[in-house]
This record gives sequence, structure tokens and C-alpha cells, in this order.
Amino acid sequence: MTEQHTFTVKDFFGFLRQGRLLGVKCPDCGELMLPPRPICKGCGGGNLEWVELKGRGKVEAFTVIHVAPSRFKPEAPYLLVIVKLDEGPRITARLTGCSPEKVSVGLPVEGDVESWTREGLPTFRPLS
Amino acid sequence: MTLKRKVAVIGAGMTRFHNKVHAGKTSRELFVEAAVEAIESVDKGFELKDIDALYVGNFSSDVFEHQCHLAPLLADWLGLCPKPATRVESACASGGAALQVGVMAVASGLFDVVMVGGVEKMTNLPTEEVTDALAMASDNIYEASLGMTFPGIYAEMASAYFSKYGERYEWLASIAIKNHHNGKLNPKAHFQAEVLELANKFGEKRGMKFRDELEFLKSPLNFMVAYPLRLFDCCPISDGAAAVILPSAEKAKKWTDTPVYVEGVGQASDTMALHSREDLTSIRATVEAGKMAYRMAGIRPEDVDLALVHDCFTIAEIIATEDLGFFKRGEGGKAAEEGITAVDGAKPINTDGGLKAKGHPVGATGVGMVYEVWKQLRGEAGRRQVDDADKALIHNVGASGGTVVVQVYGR
Repeated sequence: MTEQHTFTVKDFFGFLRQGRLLGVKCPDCGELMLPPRPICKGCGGGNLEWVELKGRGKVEAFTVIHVAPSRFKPEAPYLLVIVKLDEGPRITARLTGCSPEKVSVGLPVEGDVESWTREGLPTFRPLS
Repeated sequence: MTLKRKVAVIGAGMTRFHNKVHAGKTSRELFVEAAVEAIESVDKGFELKDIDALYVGNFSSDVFEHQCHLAPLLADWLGLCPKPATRVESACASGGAALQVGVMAVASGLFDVVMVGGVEKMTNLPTEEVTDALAMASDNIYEASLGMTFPGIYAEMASAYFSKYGERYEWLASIAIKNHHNGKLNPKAHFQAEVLELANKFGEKRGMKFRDELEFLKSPLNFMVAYPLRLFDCCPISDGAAAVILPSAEKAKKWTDTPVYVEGVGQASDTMALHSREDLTSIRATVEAGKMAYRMAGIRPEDVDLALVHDCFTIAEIIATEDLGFFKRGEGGKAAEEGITAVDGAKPINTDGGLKAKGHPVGATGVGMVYEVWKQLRGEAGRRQVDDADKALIHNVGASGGTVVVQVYGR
């Protein structure tokens, strides 16, 4: 891939705004990391490359936030989850299109790409 | 790993932890109150000039009081200047991390006597702004930016735990019930009342009466904070301070015939973001810090007579008692439900009421645990005294486990 090889927070959210979920892979030890970081957490190497993830996975943990931080207050209650992606890494994300009663550990989810481009935040929805 | 020189505790002081009684005070008054009590607690008398350095655990006086650079300010108010004074910040483990630094300073021989304190004045801000400030101790970009809160992070752990070991709200409830019961026996606790007493106080205003704790805890009055954690699964917001005096064991004899000794210390780190961890039902840094402290003290989990563990949320106590090796995986909640962790149980946990009932003025918490150790190991814990307590353990967690300090004390 020819994208800039800086592996910053800014890069990650830039891709998300384009509707793409990208992590980094270490070709030396095979470690796959999300969010991106500049040094491999597996072997400590710096020879990393971007890798595009399919954006599908399962809920590994969840919560429904009722008492929200001040700037999120109007949105409460809202669902937050840790998604374990099919490729292996996990990420904290918002869960849309799902009522709090329906969420459970193991729920299959996919990226809510429209929401990525609109809000620039990792957001998933139940797999349709 | 060993300590090059043995370190002792010869005095300890603590303000009451509370959300209202310190309304008119700032960190400096709170800290001085705890420090003066620590000095006055020394059996054979102690002079301020014998303190070589001060280490203070504090999470965020910056946000709470618009005051950075807190340590020299506290040294000044106590009359310690020009002795070196340093603030240590490691979120909710700030106090524990300050203790680590203090122990290292004495063990290394750099100083003979240090004071380690902790303080937090939280109630200047409304609850939602405190929630915002605490969320700053998570991964600000990948967690807090999504609207994550601290209860939310521990709620995620609870969801993973329930998924793995079965969902039983009674496990969480029994932690809150026990810690409130212990808090009632502690004159310095934030809440000195049983869950049922508080429940009926809440209920009275709404014409409701509860038969037992569970009826209340499962009712809408015990409102949801972050599913599955409700209000009574969360520690309160408290103001408070604590201070201890740590000399080398050799020097300690000058001040007391019954010191308490630091026998093992451990500290570990883990990823800030919960999602970067392989196991969401355990805090790896607790396991690692615990191993280090046990090894140094030459003891095993079964040798611990009582433990003060970081129950910022009820699920946190369950996971901590498993990570520290007191109970098998998935059995921490059952142990609490069966009374094993009560003051008169086989493994007393949070005899002081824990963070849940004693309160959690963030930076003061780790040092406040040593205050309880000091009382227990000297047989001065009154109605919450554990019989023949020889070995006590403290466990102080920063945020979701990015920092964990475990220390073993003996008499």
C-alpha cells in the first residue's frame, strides 16, 4: 500500500472518514494491530505496513452508558462495545441499530460505514 | 528483586473520606490534617524535621482545583520546606505509586525517613465534570472520545465476566452489602451505614419500604449507571487525604516498639485501552504486581490474613480477589456471597469498607489502605479487627489496570 507510513491517530481517523478500517501489520512477526501504532507490539520492530480490515467481528464485551460524560449527555443511554474483529484485533466502538436488550457477548457485528464517514468514529451494527 | 534495606511504617493518619464534611477545605488543609495525625500517631513522639522527603499521590488537582505542582505546596503548608517534595500521578493508583517511590527512596538508602501522602479534593466539581475528569485516565482518543466512562469500562469487564462464568447479580450485590457493613464499623468511612439503611432512607422520600437489600438493589431507585453496573456497584466521589511515615526498619526502633514492616512490593503496567487486552475478565497488571510482591515477601496468597483491594466497582473486587490468587477463576463473587470475605470470614477483604463504603478520594486511596493495614496489624482496628492479623496486602489500581501496585505488610 502506498499510503503515508506514519501510523498516527490522525491517519487512522482519516481512513475511517473515507469509510475504511485500517490497522497495521508487522511483516516480520505477523502481528496485526488496531489501532495503528509505530512499533510492533509483538517483536518491537518498526517495519510495519497498513492493512485493510473487513470490519466484521463479534461483540466481546458491552455496556449501556446511562450516566454519560457532559458532552454525551443528550445521547444517553447509548451502547458501547468491544468488537473482536474476524482478523483478530479488538476495538472499542459504538453500537448502532441495536436495542440495549438485544446486545450480548458473541453478537455478530459489521462496520456502520455511513457512520464512519459521517462522524469519524468506530461504529458497528448487528450483522444484517 | 529485593529491597536493599528493610522499610517500616511508624505512623499513619487519615481524614474521614466524605463528600460533604470537607466542603470548606482545599487539598492543603486535608493533607495537613492527615499528616498531623500521622505524626501524632508515632508511639514515642516524632518531629517534623526528621522527615527527609515527601511523596504525594494526587490524580488531578489540576482539574479539580486548578492547582498543579501540588507537592511543594503541601510541603510548605506542613512546614517541610526545603525538603524535596514530589507529586506522583498514576490515576487511581497515584497513592500506591507514591508509596512505591517512597519505599524505594528509603530502601535505596537515599533517605532515612520519608512521608508518603495522598490527597484528592473532588467535590468542587459537579458529578458529571468529575466523570469527565476521571475518564481522562482512560485512553482519551480510543475510549473517552466515544463517550466511554469509568463505570462503562468496568461494566464491559463485568459483561465479559458474566458471559464466561454465568450472570449472577447477587455476586455484585454481596460485595456492596459487605463493604457497607464494614464501612459502618469504620469511623472514617464515607458511608457508615448498611445498604438496607440507605435503601430505606432513599425509599422514605418516595413512600417505599424494602424488605431486604436485594429488593432495593434490583429496584429502579438503585439506578443504572452503565449496564450491568448500578449506583451501588460504584464507589462514591469523596474528598480526603492520608499520610504515612516510612523510615528504615533500623531507624524505626527509635520511634516505636511495634512498627509495621513493608515486606514485599510490586508494580506493573498494562495497556491503557481495555480493547488491547487478551483477557477482559482479569487484570494482568494485578497478577504481575501480585507475583512480584508475594515473591519478595516470601509468602503465598493463602498466607494473607486480610487484604485491601481496589473495589472502585463491585466487579473489580471480584476480579481482584481472583487475580491475587485468593479464589479460583469465576469464584470471587461466590466467595463474597458465602461470607468468606467478611471481617470474621476466612479471607477478610476490605475490612475498612473498601472504596465502595470508605470512599475513594482518588490520590489518597492507596495510602488510605496502608492506614487500615497499620491499624489492623497493630490490633487497633476496633470492631472491624481481624484476629491475629500478621500479614496484610494492599492492591491499588490505576484506571482499568494500566497501573497496579500490590504491597505486602507484616508485623
